[in-house]
Amino acid sequence: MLKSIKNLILGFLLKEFYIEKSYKLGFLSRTVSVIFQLLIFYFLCKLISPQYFEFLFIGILFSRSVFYSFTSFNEIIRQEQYWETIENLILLPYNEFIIFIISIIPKYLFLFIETIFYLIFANFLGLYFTWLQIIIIVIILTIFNILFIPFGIFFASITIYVRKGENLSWLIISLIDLLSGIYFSITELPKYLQNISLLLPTTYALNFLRSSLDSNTKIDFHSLTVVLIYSIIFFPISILFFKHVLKVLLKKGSLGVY
Amino acid sequence: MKKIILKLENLSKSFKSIVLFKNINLEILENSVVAITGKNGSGKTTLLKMLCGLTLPDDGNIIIDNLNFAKHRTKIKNFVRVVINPEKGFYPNLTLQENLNIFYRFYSKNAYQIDTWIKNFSIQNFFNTKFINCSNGIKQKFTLLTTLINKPKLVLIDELTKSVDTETLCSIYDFINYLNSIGTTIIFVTHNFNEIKILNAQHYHINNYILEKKSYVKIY
Repeated sequence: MLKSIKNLILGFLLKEFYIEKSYKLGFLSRTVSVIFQLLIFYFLCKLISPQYFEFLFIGILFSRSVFYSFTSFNEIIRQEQYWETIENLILLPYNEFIIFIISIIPKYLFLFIETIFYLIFANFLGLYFTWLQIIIIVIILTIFNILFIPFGIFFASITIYVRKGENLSWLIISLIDLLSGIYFSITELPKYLQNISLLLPTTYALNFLRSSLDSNTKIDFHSLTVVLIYSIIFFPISILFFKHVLKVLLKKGSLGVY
Repeated sequence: MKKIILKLENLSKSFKSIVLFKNINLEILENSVVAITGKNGSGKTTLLKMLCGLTLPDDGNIIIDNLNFAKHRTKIKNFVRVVINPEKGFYPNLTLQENLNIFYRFYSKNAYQIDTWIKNFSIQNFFNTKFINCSNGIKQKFTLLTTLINKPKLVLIDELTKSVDTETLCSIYDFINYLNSIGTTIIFVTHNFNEIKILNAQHYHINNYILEKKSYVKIY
């Protein structure tokens, strides 16, 4: 069993490698676009306050990471539908849920490399992260990537069911960007928006990340617990929902339709 | 004595108000070659899709090699290979070789005797061509080749010789005979009654929501 799972992982890594090789500028253009975004914020922050850039940098890094967690599952399924390869994947001798969970591993690997790259690049913008801090950030973001997988599965299930569900994912991501304390502290928000913000697991995740990097404050384990509870609750719900959607689509015979 | 490789028990399928099958029962012995014919829209492709798990039946059981599909889906997928829409199904911007490498890895196995059949199908010169740039005939032959991965017990093929020139027809028939000679059962959908005779296949015709066994081949 473990051997076949290993082969499935290697198969998806090989696929991603070939695809990146065939779209040579893909990785480069994604990286450059984030660098440009960082540069814009860097120069803007010079006008406001250099400390603000550090706050913003961590927020953007977190936002990018959450974005991957929430959308990669969805993106993989839609991409395979678009290439009309999804039926061949379903026919692989593995449980369908395992196939799709494993298919996101290469995406996370890219995210991992990108995150380290941005942390090193930050040095050129005056933010000096020690190797220990880089390791802490990467570990925490990886933990949140795993904890947010249920949300990704949930949104992907909606997307493949209603077809045009990408809009929903974008709406959620924008909401998270606005309300989770990514660009500014949530205390800047009006009270009613702060209340909504406190319902989002991403607010707590970002709190935990920021507190872990600030040597003057205690690490906010309460926030980590909240994220963990959200994840534990959503995990079985998202699996059941995904399996239900898959069953409905297989009954209709429309899984392969983009 | 040959064992039953495929058994259908009271299989029914409909899409909204369109009924395709009503309580189909069927038994296919291992190492058989079976042809399925029927009018357009009669449910030939849907039947194949149900046999490999791409579409779920409304009712009834599909039993393959004594395993019920509903309970042993993953196990059954190990030894059933399918060719439906051969123009699709592989990564369009990757070469045939890259696609093959990926699927070798997924199945943890290489394909049985594939090099011989690459030569027989004369597609060795296209292995560095992107899948999207191959002609439909090449895609059809490549997809057929991939059925050799995992030495399957059952191969399902939709429109066996679609998009294939007359020169290649014989090599495809040879391929089917070869698959059969290594113990594989082949079920194919066709509109070509000659094919049924050439491959000495058992013939089932979909008519009025059921599968009728035909004891003769009518050539139009």
